[in-house]
Amino acid sequence: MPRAACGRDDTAAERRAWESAARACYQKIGLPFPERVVWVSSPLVGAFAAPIAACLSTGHRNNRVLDSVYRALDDTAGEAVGHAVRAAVRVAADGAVSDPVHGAAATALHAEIAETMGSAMASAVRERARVTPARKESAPPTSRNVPTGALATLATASQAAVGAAVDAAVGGPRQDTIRGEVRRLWRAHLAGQRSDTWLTLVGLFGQDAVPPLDEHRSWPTVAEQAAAQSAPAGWWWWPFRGFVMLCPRPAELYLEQVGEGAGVTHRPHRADGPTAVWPDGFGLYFWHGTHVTRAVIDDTLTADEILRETNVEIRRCAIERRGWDRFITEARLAQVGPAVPDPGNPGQTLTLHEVPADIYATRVRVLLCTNGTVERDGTRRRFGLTVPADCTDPLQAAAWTYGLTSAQYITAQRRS
Amino acid sequence: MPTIEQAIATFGVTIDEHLDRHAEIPVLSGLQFQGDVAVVPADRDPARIPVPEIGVPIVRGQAEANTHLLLATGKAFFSPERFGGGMVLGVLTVAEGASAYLAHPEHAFTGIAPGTYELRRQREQAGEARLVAD
Repeated sequence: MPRAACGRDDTAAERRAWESAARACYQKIGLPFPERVVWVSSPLVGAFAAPIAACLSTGHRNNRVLDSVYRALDDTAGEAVGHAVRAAVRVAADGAVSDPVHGAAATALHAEIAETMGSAMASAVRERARVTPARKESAPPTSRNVPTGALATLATASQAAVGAAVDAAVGGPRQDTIRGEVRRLWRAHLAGQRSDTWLTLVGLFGQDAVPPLDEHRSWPTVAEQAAAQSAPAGWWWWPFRGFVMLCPRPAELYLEQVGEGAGVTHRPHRADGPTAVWPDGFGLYFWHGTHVTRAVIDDTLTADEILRETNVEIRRCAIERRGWDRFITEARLAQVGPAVPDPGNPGQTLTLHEVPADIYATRVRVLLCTNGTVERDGTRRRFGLTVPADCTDPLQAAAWTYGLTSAQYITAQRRS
Repeated sequence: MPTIEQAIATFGVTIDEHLDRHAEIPVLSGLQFQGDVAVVPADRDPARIPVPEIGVPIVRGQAEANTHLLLATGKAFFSPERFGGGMVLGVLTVAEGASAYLAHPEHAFTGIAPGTYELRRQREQAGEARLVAD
């Protein structure tokens, strides 16, 4: 396989594979494949566009309601998303008024198709595998080189982020048919929940078209944009009656390596921007594998906002992102005992601070230390280490981090 | 006491460019720290596995970049702790007349004089105690 094939040139082929797989699913449940295949720019756009188009294509034609939904979307998700949704709806639903089934019965059918599709996928995989016995030995390139754990984490985060955006736009007290259908039907997307079966099916269609990635060019050991290229072409798709809506993989995806050797895994992480970002800018943010809000990564929360964060994991991530040294000052964490010189680290001191009770599952204090070596910019990195709450002075705390007694720790000759 | 420049020439490892090449590396027999690794003089049975010329990665960092690499001039031995995952990484024995070094791109070199030591990893109390990655 030529290495050049690893680039994005195969996107069109991958999209064809997705469409072929979708076609097989429709065939399986005995429905004609819709002529309208609409690719949207992100899961967020699809989550609004698919249900709205489903409403319009089955006879819901209340422009006043539609306009108010679009305005709510502009206000909460931004006008760029609003425009992308309008454009996708136009392509998916225009001219589809001749459908003989109208109203609630018709939209109910959309959800039904999506539900039936789950089992249809599995049997389509079996059928497809039977008619192509020659290919049986080669493992289907399900998710290609993307670690399934990372994919599942992204899918869950994608679900949470889109769900929050749907709630913000149409979750208020005002209710009407379109709002109701958006809240219900956005979840009818496939591939998020049943990614294994679906990606296997796509893989069976894509074997000719999609060259497998060079094995040596597997997942990078550090976060790297190239990671996105080995993610499957499609992300979510909505299999509805009059149209199929698909959204592509993230344009950028950053992972970090955890562990080493045989136990190595990858998790989403990026400290200076969205970890996964779609072509229209919709992004998911992660701190060492934990899904967090954009404010955590952009580091725009106040110390009080961090302390008021109700999710323990996110609170911890926000503090780590900020750095304990800054957080201790900003949150005015009380100092325990005096500052003491750091043995073996001339000119540097150690300080111990109280940590509010509800930040970790157990009571801890935090030891603020300074690196023994200077950084590129001539400064020394300061960092906090959590220690048991029964540490009563900085030396005892520092000694604990290496399993030493205070008496041993003060004999330190050098820290580099 | 070798300089950082001499140690780089001897071992063929690289460290961050901004660190002073002419700085001398103290070769010490007491307690020392290199970031999240401690060299703790210990009353333990001497290690018996020779440190190979290419060194022993004591703690591997992200992308092999921030690895603490154990190296030696002369005879040095390192026995990894049998039940890994704890604070004690293993036992280091440096023979008379030899020197061992821990090399790390950001922390440069830690020189270790003859004797027997435990190499330990730093830990944190984050909910439950976990090891520090620097």
